Amino acid sequence: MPKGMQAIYTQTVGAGGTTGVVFNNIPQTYTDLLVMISARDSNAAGNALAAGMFFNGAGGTTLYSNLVTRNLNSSSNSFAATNFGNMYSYVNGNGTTSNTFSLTTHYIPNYTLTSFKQIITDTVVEGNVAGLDSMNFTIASLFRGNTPVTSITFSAAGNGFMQHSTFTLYGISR
Amino acid sequence: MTMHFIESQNGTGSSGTIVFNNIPQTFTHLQIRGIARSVGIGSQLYTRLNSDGGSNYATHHMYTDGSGSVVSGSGGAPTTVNLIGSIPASTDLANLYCSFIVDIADYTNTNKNKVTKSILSLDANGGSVQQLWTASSVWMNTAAVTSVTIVANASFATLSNIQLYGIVSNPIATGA
Repeated sequence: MPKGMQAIYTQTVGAGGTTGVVFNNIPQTYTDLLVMISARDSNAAGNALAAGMFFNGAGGTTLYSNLVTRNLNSSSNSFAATNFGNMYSYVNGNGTTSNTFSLTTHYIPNYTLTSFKQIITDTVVEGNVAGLDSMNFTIASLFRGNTPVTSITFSAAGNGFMQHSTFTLYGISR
Repeated sequence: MTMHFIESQNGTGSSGTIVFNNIPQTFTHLQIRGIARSVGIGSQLYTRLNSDGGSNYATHHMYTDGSGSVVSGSGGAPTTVNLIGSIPASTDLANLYCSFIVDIADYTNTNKNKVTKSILSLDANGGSVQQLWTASSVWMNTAAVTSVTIVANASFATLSNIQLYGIVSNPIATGA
């Protein structure tokens, strides 16, 4: 396997949107994975919305936990959650500044190991609409599953990911 | 190979501006990486896209100095620059440079305003100059990005170096 970063899969949401995106059959030949997302939710009520992420179909279980620092509308704090049902990032809702999509990276090191997985997430939602959220979250997540990551699922918390949202999976080899 | 080197520039000691012009439109995302120090006063680091100095950016940032407090703020609504963070002054610890990474997603996509996120590291072995920044910005313009200007309030020291990379997303399949 050549060293460096290689795009494995990409999905661009078409007209009509989608409630979820899945990367199946992830090759087990890399060392780390990186997911890059640029997304917007069609929920017209507007604000920033969560987008869930889980591995190997294990959503809704209690296998996830997270530690968060955030800047939400120029106010910062941190918090943690245990026994959570998924990992997450945020996306622009359809009431936020038009044509503006969130930017998220999920870094998943050593994804083929038969041990717990530690994930680093950096997610930003920007905009210029008074009364609606702008945010920058940095999240440490733990997946307490001992199997290699073979699939990743992204689910929209609102009405669904809008057209032009993009999800790309990269493999990183050392 | 997915991540490609495009260009590198060094500080000159007499200018607080580094510009990457004529950016190839053949990649999907851009990443800017660099180290920087000022030859004068303590300075903050900004970017502008396509030389747009108008009030067309919305920015938010958060930083800590290790004291236990976190400072957060915004760059006005809207503002004229995308703030990244602080760079050390000539009077700060010798040989001290900050390091930073800026991501610009889908920079050629004319359906999207251009969103950036950044992280800047300035550990100084203690002292008031040290800070760790995360920041984000939207340039409220759907035009493709053809140039990126990195700006400091004072001139960049000559060992400052900033590189531009392009990231492609031409994968094997969708994985669906």
